[in-house]
Amino acid sequence: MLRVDIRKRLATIDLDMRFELAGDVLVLFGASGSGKSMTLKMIAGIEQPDSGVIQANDLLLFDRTAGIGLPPQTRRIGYVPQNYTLFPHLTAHANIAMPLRKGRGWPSARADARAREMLALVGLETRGAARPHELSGGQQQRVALARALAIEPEVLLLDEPFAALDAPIRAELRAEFRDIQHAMRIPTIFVTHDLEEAVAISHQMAVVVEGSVRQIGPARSILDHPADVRVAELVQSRNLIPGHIARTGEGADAVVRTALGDLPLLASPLADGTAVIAVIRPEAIQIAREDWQENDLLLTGTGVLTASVDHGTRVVVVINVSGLSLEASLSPTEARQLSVVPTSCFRIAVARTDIHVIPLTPLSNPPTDRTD
Amino acid sequence: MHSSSAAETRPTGAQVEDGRVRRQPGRMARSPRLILWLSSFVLIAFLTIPLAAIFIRALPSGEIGDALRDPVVREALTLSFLTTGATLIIVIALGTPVAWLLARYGFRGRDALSTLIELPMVLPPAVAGVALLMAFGRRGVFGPFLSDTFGIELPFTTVAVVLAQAFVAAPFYVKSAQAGFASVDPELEHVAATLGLSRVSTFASITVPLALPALLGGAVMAWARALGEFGATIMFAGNFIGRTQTMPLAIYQTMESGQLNAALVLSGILVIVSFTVLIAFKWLAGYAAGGRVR
Repeated sequence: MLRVDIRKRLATIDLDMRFELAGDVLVLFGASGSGKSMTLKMIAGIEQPDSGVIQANDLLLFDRTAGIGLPPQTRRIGYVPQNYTLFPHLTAHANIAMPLRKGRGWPSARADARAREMLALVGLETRGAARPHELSGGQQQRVALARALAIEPEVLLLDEPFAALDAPIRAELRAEFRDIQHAMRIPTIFVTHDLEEAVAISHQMAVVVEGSVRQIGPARSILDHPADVRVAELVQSRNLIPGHIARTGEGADAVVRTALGDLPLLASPLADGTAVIAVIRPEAIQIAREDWQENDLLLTGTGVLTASVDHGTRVVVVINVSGLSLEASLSPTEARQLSVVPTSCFRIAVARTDIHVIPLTPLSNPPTDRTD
Repeated sequence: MHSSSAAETRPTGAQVEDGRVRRQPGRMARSPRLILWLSSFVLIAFLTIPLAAIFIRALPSGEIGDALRDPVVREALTLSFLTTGATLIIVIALGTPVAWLLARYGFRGRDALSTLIELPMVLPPAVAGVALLMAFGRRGVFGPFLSDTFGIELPFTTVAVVLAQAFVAAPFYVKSAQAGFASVDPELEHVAATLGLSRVSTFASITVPLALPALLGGAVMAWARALGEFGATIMFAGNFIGRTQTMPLAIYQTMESGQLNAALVLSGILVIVSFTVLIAFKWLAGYAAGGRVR
């Protein structure tokens, strides 16, 4: 268990981080410069918070009021930064074994055995004699991970460890990391600004905005129910439609009255007239030809396709409905069947359960005008 | 390089002679190169011929052996290597922390301090000599204090030779070491700390090995500068055989008193040493630039 409750004043933002890591993988997800890396450095003991507490299990790593601040050497926290983290003058084997000998005081034989064991864990048992520049980027990060795990850390911190790698290697390492993490059950904080990576790797995801955690929970629930407009933007909800709550009749379900028309909601505790943003993820929008038969989905209207971009695994189309541009994401098969070409007309449909509402109370950050 | 690229950019005509395109650059390509060579010749000759002349005159004289047995030459050789050795130790011992401070810690006036430390590199050595006299001389700022309290008289001693050398040579080491330390990614030191390495272990096992080419290169340059030191030494330490007369001073003295062979031998030794130092420095600099980045 790791408890983080720290504050630090930085040049551009005021960091105010509060979260708990119970086990498994917590992903800190946010834009560059939002304070994620600084948070890891403070947990590792490389940087000092201005105030607050960091606690790992029963051990206080940092407590400003009690005057506690353990040095990195005694924290037993594995730290893997983004880039160039291997000692370039040492072999892969020595990168792991040397710190065990000089840092932990292990005898050479024990350190060497451990280094071989860790290299085998990441599938590099034959590359122990290679120097970092002789290894590929993926292999280097594997050694960096093995080196961090070799000290049997209480917590593992990974700062965008795969960001510099090519996409296929990244996916491979991600899967490998999940297996290793699962086998060793080391609580891990994983920093990334890549949404796909955040969702794929996290058990819990914390969305960091300007130095503080705006929302924390399972990735899927954050994607489906972003807490505010900023989070919705960060998790690429794409379709943020301004409107207000209205009830159509006695005991009837609420709707969001928007430029698209009335979007019915399953239930809403919000009062009539509350200004809201209706959020619909691109994947949730279904589109069909105009002659398509209505089913149990909610039909919201007919629109004109204005753009279509093939991303390989998904085709993203933009459909203009009542002056609003909605982004929808289709599988290539769907796109082919519908023959999505600009200026053709389509019906769009969204399931009631896929409409999420964010109230625009004066307390939350008012969103900038956006109609796209 | 020049001719082949020129041939590639003007393929017409050259391609007719199959297989010989690269060996037959056109007139247009060759003549600017010829002009460059001719205009460079004067300076190249001016820089190399005098050095060669030392050996041309020294070798046939047949008195090299006698000159080497000359007590003046032997004393100067011994004193030069002793004092420059001491200088090197002092410069490395005191310069390394300064270089580390300048490379790793941001503080107000760091750039100003860095510039101040580099000043002796461009300062005329005679000025350095006057400055040292004004600091440690009998009428200097600290001279009377050292003399009255400890009975130490620095000017015109072997220690003064070392001080003069250290004054002019230290910046060469500090500057190079600073660049070397700055080139080591601090993140490597951070990672080492999380792995349990103490600051001392990290410095010894990570930072110094990675900065080593720059440290050695700086040390070599500092030593070479100390070995050639003349102006500050003669001002602050004087020119006493066996006590303060290093090789450059001995060359001056032997030339003045007409002992040409002694001057030639000493000069020849210094040329060879300087050349070796330069080669060593280039090799280290190349190693530093190419050894890590790949």
